[in-house]
Amino acid sequence: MSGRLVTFGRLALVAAVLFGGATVALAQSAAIQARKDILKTFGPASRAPGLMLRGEQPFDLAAVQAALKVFAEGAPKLPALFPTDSQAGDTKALPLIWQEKDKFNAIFTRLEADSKAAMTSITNEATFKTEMPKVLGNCGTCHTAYRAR
Amino acid sequence: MPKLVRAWDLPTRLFHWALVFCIISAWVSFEYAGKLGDPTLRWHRWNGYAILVLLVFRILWGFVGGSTSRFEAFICWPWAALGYLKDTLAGRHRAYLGHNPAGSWMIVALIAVVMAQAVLGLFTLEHNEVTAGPLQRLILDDEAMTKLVQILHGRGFYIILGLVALHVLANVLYQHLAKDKLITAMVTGRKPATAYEDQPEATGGHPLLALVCLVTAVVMVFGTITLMGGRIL
Repeated sequence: MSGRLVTFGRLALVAAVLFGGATVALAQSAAIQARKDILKTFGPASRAPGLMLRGEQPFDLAAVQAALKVFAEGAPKLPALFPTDSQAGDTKALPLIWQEKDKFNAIFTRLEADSKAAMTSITNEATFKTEMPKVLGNCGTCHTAYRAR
Repeated sequence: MPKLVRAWDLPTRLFHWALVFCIISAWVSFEYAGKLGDPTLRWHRWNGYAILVLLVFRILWGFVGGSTSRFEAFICWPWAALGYLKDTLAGRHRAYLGHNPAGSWMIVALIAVVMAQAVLGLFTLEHNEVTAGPLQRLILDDEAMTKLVQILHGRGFYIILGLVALHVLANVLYQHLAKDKLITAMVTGRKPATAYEDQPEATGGHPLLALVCLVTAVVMVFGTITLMGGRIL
């Protein structure tokens, strides 16, 4: 009887470790997946404004506002999606992020603030050309420092 | 103190140090674009145009410039460069007033690689698609090509870095170990008179002629970009 109990105990221990490990692993990839899902809406959103800045597409205020909304809504969700245990996995996030987390998070805060400010300050093509680069500049600031190339 | 002779004309020296500045500045202006408040890479793009103009100038100057700057004076058979390298590594220093046979191929490689990098830049879409080179619009709809150019322009920097490291190392070794002051010569334009294998003293290379080459280079670079339908932003 006690033999069976010990065997069960061993099995339970292994199962618990495996289950626990799997939960942690899933939670990790969940954070990675969640931040990727948000960041992957930023790319397509910035495409049209980029084309407008380069003069390849006519200025369209509605499209610009739509892009700014995507940034303003996505940015504040991102700091929480880079937990310490989400460094490894299918991610291009560099370890430097966790060494200077405050500086890293500040970029998201700035992206949100810049996007919200631009929603009111961009009223025509001229203001678009001066204000939009400030918003989009945050993408490059973060990517050059914190994303693997 | 031996008599000093002319080794490099002024335009070649100015070209050299301007290119050094532009290559460093091209890297800084991309890497720190955000911090420098230039997310549309205006500085980086004009830096690229400047590099193209400098290189086209140098190629023109290779035909009409000072005697040591001309391609005919230094482009040798590759095996001549290998023979020279063999002698040098064996400790037999062979003195050249201008580019030595090994150095000449480094110059060709540097011009070719930096030129390729600058031309690729014209077609490159910035990684956040905020800005692009003036000719990117020609391949705008070709995603695979756009991606390829992006990767090549990104990696190209490391090839330049490798060549530059080798070039600088070689010159530092010449300057300090071989006591052949190549770096000083690229600043002052002068070297001590001795029995050089290529030529005893450099001739020609008038600055006015260089100015004509420079203006021609500017017209060629911006003319070509414009004729190809590029938008210089």
